[in-house]
Amino acid sequence: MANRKSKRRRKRRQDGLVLRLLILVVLVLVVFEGRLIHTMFRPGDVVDSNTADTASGNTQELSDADVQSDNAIVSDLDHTSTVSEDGAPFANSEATGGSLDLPLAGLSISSKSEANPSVAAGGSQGAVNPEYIDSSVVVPLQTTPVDDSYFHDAVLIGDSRMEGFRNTSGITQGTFLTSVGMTLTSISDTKIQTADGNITVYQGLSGTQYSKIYLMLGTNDLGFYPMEEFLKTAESVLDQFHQLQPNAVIYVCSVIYVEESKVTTDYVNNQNVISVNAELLKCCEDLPYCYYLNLNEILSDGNHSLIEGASQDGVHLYADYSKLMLGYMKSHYIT
Amino acid sequence: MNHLINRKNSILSVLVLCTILLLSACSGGGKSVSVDTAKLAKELAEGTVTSEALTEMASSMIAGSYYIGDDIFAGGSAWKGTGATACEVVVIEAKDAKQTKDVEAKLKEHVQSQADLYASYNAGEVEKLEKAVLKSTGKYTALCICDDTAKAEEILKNAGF
Repeated sequence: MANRKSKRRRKRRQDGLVLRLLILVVLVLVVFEGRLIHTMFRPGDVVDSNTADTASGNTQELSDADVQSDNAIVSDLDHTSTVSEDGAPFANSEATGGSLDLPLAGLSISSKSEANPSVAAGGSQGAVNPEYIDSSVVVPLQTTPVDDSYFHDAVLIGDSRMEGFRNTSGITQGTFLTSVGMTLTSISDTKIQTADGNITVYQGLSGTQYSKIYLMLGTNDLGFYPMEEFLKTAESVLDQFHQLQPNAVIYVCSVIYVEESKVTTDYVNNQNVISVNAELLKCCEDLPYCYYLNLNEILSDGNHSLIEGASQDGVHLYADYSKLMLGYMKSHYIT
Repeated sequence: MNHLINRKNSILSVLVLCTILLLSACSGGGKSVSVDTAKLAKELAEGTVTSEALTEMASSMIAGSYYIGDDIFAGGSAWKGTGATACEVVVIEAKDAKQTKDVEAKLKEHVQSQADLYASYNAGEVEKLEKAVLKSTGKYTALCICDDTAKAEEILKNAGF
């Protein structure tokens, strides 16, 4: 009997010891993991599942809403120009969704619409637009804008202006080979950071075959050249592109005008832009696989200058204008 | 007496359960921090960059822009400039905390590459690149190339970095 009482007492003591130990462990854990528990139950810190869902590689399709929105911009660009009192063409700011308050020059043009039979109606009002170029190599306006999937098999090559376009236009597809400060003369030496290390543009074009190449260079070449040298250099670069990507259409982007009052480098001026663009156009006329994408149709103020207020430093476009450029690229393509 | 024993057993069971739950939380490995990448990137972009208004980049372009493979990239948010300045903000979530060092390495390479390029193009921006804030916690890595690094440090500290 005494033994049984002693056993029960011992058992009770052991139970009490286990209980105290467990309480101690729990207390320690609660103290050290207090932050974890706090985080677990704080609603503001939950990771947004949308972010993870939408961030998976370069080939994601645009949602219907996005496509509609982009197409709306394209539509605005192509059909809403009007003429100011002094005769210079201006965009209807209401038509751009009110996002741009500044006048946009040259919004209703299709220099290729007469020369290229693939171009349907879309306004051949070149006479109104001072940026109109009468050449069969100018990329025409198409009636049906493409969506971002058009850029799925495109490689976009360029300098900081192209980098800015990638960063701020909202483009969702395409391979970019860009480098700040890149020039046409330095293209073979300029190294671009990629997943496989630092490579040149030519190395970047040596593997995967693309259907389209967009080239936006020339801004950093302004003033560097005797113009006859520029033509030779540019054609040599484009020829190399063609050798590496024989099935690709090459879109040569015009050098976008600058806002001279904001530019600090004297040779970066619109007279030089006009000269370089004339040479780029010649390249396209000489090389059958190249087409001239006349971006100044929408980015000129009507007086051969970048639209006032389109850029902080007079060179790199604000997001709204990059979006306009994307809209232009979606409505101007080769079929 | 039985009532007392039953109550004690119940308390024991609850405590054992708590212990198991808390221990399992510990065994996850690394810091169990959860970060809203979009919110943090926006806060950094708006709070630390004064020389240029940054724009949020399309999420599908982030991994490609920083050359981070799909096997690592779980999500993120990036705010970039027009090209006029070197300023940018990116917060990346890796699929596993062990991959954070790979993300850090890619972002370091990116900063170095930009510094080399800006040195001949716009030397004034190199200082920002040299002072770039790069921090990681758990599965998350944040890079902030900005005008106010002290503010960036503060924001990141508050976010658990």
